[in-house]
Amino acid sequence: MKKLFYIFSLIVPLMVALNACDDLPGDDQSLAMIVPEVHVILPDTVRDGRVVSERYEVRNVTTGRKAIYLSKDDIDLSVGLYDVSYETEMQITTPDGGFDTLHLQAYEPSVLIRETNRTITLTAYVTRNADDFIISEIFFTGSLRPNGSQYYGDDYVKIFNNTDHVLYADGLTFLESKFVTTQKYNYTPDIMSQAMTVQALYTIPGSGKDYPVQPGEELWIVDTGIDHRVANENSFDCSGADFEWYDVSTQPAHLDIDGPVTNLDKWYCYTLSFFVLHNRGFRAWALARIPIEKEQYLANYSYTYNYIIIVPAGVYPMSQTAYKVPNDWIVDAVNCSVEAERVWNVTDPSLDRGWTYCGTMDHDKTRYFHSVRRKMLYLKNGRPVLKDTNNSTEDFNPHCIPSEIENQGTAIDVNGTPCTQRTWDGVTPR
Amino acid sequence: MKMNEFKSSYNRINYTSDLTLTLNRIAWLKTLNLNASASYQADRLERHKEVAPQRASVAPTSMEEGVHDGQYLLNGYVADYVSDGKPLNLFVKLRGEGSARLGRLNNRYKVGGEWTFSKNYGDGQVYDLTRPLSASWTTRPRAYKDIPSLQVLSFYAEDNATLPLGAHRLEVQAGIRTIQIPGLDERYSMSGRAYIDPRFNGKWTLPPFSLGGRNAEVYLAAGWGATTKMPTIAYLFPQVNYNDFIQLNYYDVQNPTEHSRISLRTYIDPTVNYHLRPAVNHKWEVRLGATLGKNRLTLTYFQERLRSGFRFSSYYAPYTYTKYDANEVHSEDLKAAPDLATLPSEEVKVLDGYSKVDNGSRLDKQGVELTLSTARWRPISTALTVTGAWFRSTYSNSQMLYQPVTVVVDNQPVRNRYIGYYNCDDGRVNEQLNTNFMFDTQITRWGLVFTTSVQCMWYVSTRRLWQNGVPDSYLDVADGELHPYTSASRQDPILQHLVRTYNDQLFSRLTVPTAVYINLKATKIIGKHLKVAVFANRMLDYLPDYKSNGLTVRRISDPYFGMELNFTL
Amino acid sequence: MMKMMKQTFVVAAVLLGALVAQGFAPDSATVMNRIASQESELRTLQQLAWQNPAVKPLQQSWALSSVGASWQSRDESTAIQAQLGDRATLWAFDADTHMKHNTATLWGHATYNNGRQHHVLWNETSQPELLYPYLLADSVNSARINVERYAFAGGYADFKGRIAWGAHISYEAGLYYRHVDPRPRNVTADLQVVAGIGTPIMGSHLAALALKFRKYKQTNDVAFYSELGSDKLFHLTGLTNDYDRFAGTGSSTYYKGYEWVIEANAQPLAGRGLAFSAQASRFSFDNILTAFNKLPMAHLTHQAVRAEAAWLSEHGWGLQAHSHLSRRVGTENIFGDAAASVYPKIGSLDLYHENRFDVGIEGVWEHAIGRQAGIALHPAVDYHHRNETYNNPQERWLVNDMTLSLRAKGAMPMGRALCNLLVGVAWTAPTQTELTWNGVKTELASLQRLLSRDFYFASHHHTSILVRPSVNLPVGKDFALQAAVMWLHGSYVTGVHADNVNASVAFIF
Repeated sequence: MKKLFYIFSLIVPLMVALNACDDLPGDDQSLAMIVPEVHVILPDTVRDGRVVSERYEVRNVTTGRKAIYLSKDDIDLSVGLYDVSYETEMQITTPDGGFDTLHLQAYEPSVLIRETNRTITLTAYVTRNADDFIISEIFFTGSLRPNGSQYYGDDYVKIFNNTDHVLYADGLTFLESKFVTTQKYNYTPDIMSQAMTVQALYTIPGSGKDYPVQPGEELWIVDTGIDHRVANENSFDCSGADFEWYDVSTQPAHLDIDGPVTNLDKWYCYTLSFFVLHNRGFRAWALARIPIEKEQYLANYSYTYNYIIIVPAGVYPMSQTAYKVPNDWIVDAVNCSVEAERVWNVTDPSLDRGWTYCGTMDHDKTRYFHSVRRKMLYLKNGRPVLKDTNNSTEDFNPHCIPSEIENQGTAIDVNGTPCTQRTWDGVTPR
Repeated sequence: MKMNEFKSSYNRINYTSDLTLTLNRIAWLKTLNLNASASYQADRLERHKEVAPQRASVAPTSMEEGVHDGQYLLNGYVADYVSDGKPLNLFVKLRGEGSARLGRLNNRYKVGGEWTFSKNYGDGQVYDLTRPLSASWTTRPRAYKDIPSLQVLSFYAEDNATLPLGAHRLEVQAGIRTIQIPGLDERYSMSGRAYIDPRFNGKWTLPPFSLGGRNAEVYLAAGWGATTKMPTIAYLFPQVNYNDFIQLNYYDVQNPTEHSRISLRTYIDPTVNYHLRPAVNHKWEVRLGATLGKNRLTLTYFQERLRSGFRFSSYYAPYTYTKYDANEVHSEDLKAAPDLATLPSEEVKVLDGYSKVDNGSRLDKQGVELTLSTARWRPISTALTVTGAWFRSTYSNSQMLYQPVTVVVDNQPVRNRYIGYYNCDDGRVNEQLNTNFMFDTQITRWGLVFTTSVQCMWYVSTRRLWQNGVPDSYLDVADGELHPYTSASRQDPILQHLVRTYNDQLFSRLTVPTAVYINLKATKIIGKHLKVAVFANRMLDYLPDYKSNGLTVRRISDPYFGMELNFTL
Repeated sequence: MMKMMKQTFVVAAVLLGALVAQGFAPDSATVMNRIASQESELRTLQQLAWQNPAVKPLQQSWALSSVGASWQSRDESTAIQAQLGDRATLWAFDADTHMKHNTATLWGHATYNNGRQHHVLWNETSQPELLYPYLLADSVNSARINVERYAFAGGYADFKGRIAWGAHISYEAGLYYRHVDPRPRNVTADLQVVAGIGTPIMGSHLAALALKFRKYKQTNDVAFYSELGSDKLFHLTGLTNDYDRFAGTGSSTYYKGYEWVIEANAQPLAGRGLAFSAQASRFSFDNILTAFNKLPMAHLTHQAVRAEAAWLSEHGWGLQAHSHLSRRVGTENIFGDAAASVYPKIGSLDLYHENRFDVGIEGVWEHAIGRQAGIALHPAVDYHHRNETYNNPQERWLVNDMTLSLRAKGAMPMGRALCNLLVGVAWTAPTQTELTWNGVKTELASLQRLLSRDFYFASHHHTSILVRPSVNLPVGKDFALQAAVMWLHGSYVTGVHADNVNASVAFIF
């Protein structure tokens, strides 16, 4: 017994002496950092230029954090998935001996960095300036009826002349992307670097000079050009719009109303009933000038692509046909998404490098009565000049009160609270 | 707050009787059995809902063919809906059993007949057509009492004969059944016809022998039969098809409720298929069985063929209506809704259709089934039961099909003008192999029973039969006739869209690999009257990730738990 | 369905308790004596040894079964741990049995709980104490959560020649849900199987070894029924951090884990002398997002070592020393391109660490007065160390504290009844604390405030008082009724207090 007691009295201090090795944050868990190899492919025209300054912006998709590097040797990253964005200013010599400064950009989403995969390849392009119309506002969320249910028909797009000369809107086509920014598939063939895949093409009619737009003026294109306050007192009056899109439907269950406003020329739309802008903002919208006739376009510009869907029920190889619009014909594009669901842009980075939004997650309750509006840089002769750097993250003010609600002073929420503010771009007051 | 209330009530009364007469006097008839049952149910669903149409839509309100005005549903309204059902089901079955010896042949036979009757006396869906529950309804209500009743009458006779042949034993079971639908309208090809289903089973038991100190016995069995399945009420008496076309869609901006006008042309087509036949399934099987002591094993191979299964197929035809142009109407000048006679119009022809039931489905099935049950192994009081099966089923159809495409070209859906007629199998081949192991441990001393079952689905694979995307011919709205689809058609800007494209990988075999689930159950027998059981399923599992078409697919399973209590009085 | 299960359970447990005696002889000692032995304070010194089913027969030499119902409530004036809520009530129905027959021992336990939890903030996962830090959370202060739990356990041990063996199986199922947005629907399943084997050594002790396997699963489904939309859900990964890529999505999550435990014991056969137990365990689970091709967002490994040494003397006193060392490592997995929602795994980062170390010494002195009366004293000293770190951004939570406690129990017969009174007092004071926050997202600012408040309570001293009177009333020779009420009152800094009340009645036989 005594022996056992002594054994016991030894065990006790032994247990007390066991002291845990403590962790301080950061020690012994050195996150293995990888220095990637960065290759920037410059377009042929600037091969012999001199780099004045460069800027790398790397966004970690997993944590959402961004880091900025001014030289490729500074970059070191841990294992993960990254969106890499690059901007540079280069100086090239012109044929007559002078110097010219060119602004180039590159954007590579979803770059995989791990021990076995360290390369980042960036294809740079000179920033585009199409000298044509730009989209200045997209109102896609729609309004709510006083009893809280969704109302459709008052969605619209505004097109703006940001140049210093008259532009003619005849033949300008409004497009909606076929793919959504919240679901990505590996499409074969993947033509995004050459063309945008679309599911709706509506063209402004006219012979060529029928619809002039002065610098600083805009066109208002609406879904249904009627006074929506008759059906929904929280909505507004669209009968003053410049154009509307009208779909002929033979099925009484799904009807579009033909208002008094001029109809757009419907080249193609995926739906047999009526077209509305994606209510949660998961698509990209664009403007294009298609240089060929409608019949020739419809005959030659459709293509078939394959992809595979995986759902809990199984694996399904799919095949679809859609129309494509070459990137060279596109004059402006805007990607919209929501942060919680976004996985990619559905246009080439040279058309739009960023994205904008109303609401931050899928089925966000707060998205109604809001639109995305392009930022104003300054006023010139009393007319706004808007920001256009082909980067919707920088160019747009997200989640704003739509301009028509401001102009008409109609409801900004389901209770019918009237709008009292007036701004140029959703943020800058008039 | 939106109003949305519903009330549902369900009442059922059922009478069942079973009368058995044991006859001792008659040599050839031992028992007579009469089963009868009748059930009547009263179901009623009432719904009041505040409906706010998301977009302007139209409620078609006419129940007759021809041109009518429709009504715009613009603002919100309150919809009142009642669904009233009163199904009545009657069932009578009479059966006689007897036995007789003919020499060494021992016969046991049964003869019987069965009659069932179903009809619904309810009013069906009752609601104001101008205030439907959903703004996008295009169907019309149909009173259930307008649907004819369905009776099924069948007779059967079966004989079980046993013939001992020395130490062997031969058992033969032969039977015949007739089935028919009495009281069917004579336009149906099934009217007044009785269908015959023969059936035959034979079993040959070899003489018992001794193996390793235990009794062993082996038998071989084979069988063949046909089963006729009668169509249901939904197949025999479908609702007519209402097809509405919008002739004028004028929305007046100044005075929307009074000066707007919608004009509809309604067509009513009967969708009943008088040539419908019942579906007949043929099956044959061979089986090998063996027993060794208390262990039992059976192995079965079977094949089934169904060629006349029911399926819905679409039928298309051209429909004409007048399209009115309201572009010149100025709403400021209107005093009333525009008059159709004053508007410019054109005759329009489109293709549209409905679906009809047909005997077009094919199902070929073959499989191997295994069952093994062992004796109880003393040390751990456990008996094992193994059941396994391998199946391969081929689904296809034996008809050509119309399949419209959804493409819209130049403001006109292609399906309004052309619809392709495809020679497509629309089928698939499914295959699976699975084995279930059930370990049954009984500890009688404490009244405890543990059941552990391991379900192994070794693989499930499916393959779509190759489909030809190019149509055989196409229906043209201009003449309502089928035209062959030639290479010239492929160049046509509109007809080119009739060619359907399929991802090549769609036709490759997709396999889902092994999935193993383990289910546990513990039962406690308390006294003579009570049994309590607790079970936990899918708690332990093996579901490895697998690769399909180069993509990794992961799997998980949700566990579930339950309790059972059984009282025996 | 749930009501059916509950009714099934209640009837089954009553009958199970009353009729399970078939094959097992009732104990010859009177029920009151057995209750008195059961309530001995000396028995509370050992806990680890009885987890080995081969050793469990040595826990008591008498048979005792009980069937009872209890009501528990926890009420804090301000939540001490925000993610556990500030108020909870629970109804419980229990059946417990411990039977002897020759050399065999059979024990079983069945429980049904039904309760409510209130004001649980930033946490939609159930059993967070098992699954932290990988919890599903949102910023909404919502209505109460309903809790329903079923638990069953049973074990058997026997002696054959020189071999003692035992086996134990238990299963617990839980259902947690809410009727108001955000609506979680959590189902938990916990299966444990233990097998033990031992042999007598040195003539006086039983040396035994046990192996335990545990499988744990929980499915979470948060639904939003509001027509207008939903609230943002976050996947917490430790302290104030979340997995940013899937924030706002992935409302269905799944936890799948398993645990291996090995235990070694040396237990005196006579119930007096040196007893030693040591246990090593490893619990790991994956936090899976069901909607994205079941991707394993995070993986956690929890390794622990426990030891307990006790000296029980023949003269009514005992000493015990225990220690517990654990290390919890959380790893976040990195996923590649979202094409086809496949999300292939491309790497993993080791980001969360938690180290715990507890050590303590307890003593019990018991003095019997007559056959059933007696008093006992139970002082204890404990030291706890808990260090939680997150690696990137670097955050840290460190709390070391010391607890002194003293319990006193008195038992006195009053007429035929046996009354017990247990009082206890404990005082906890921190010895070292540290809290570092770093780079908290604005959306998670309120989580940071709550965690800072939790730290405030943990890093300051608090005291608690325990009072538990109970009465045991015999009904004949073989049955007794027991009623007990327990009140535990904790006082925290700035006047915050917590009250735990437990009222129970049981039928003992």
